[in-house]
Amino acid sequence: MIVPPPKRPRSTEENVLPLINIVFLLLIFFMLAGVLAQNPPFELNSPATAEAEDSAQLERQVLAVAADGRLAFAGEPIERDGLSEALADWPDDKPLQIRADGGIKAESMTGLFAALRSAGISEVDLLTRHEEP
Amino acid sequence: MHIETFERRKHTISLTPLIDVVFILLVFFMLATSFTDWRPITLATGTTDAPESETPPAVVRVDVEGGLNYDGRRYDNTRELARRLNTLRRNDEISAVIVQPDAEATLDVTVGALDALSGAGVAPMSLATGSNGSQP
Repeated sequence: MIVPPPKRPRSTEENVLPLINIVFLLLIFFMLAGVLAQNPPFELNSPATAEAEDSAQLERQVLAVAADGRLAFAGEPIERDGLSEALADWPDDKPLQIRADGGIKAESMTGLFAALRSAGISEVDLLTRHEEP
Repeated sequence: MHIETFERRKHTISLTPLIDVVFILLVFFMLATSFTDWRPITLATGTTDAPESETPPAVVRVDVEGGLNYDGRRYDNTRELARRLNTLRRNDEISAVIVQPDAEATLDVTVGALDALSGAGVAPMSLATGSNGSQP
């Protein structure tokens, strides 16, 4: 009777070790290199620029503006009336980051900026996607 | 008959659950992170209290189709307008360039105009966003 030699678990463990090494490296890379995205609860297509030079890290609290004027702050939908409440403790010297849809009309941008001004925000950073020309 | 038995598996946690957890973490971080390259355009929400200077700024109007209008003329060629603005700026006839979108112009079009002008070397430039920023 021929009994097949049993598999040696030791050797399979050793085969798996490089795989685990790579997976750990990937895990640490994604943890450190990426920013946890705070996606607003609606579709958003930011305008693209090719010439803007400085890069920006996405902050945790970003004001998102949909094409139909809906607002979301830090991923949570808010009303325009609630803006000043949500931004009450925003520091004066820090510009508020805005992710706005590219289809917004200039007049509603003007209205939004007026609301932000009355909420105590003097400067905003309009975030644009970078695209190579 | 001699059957080999294994007596050495007692020192380690088995690797399979560990790999499962690490894979789940990996997939989570891969899906949840974003690598979009964001470029900010800094804008003032209201009219800033800049000191009045003698030289007026040039106001470039952006219409609905993205055409640039300056001094009553529509420029199809951005470079031509940029050259004119740069010459005026060098001769100190204008202090800055203000880009003013029409009320119906979209943000895409406005940002595109701003981007094209700054790519052609026009500076300093700002976007009219104040409450009087949407006159025809």
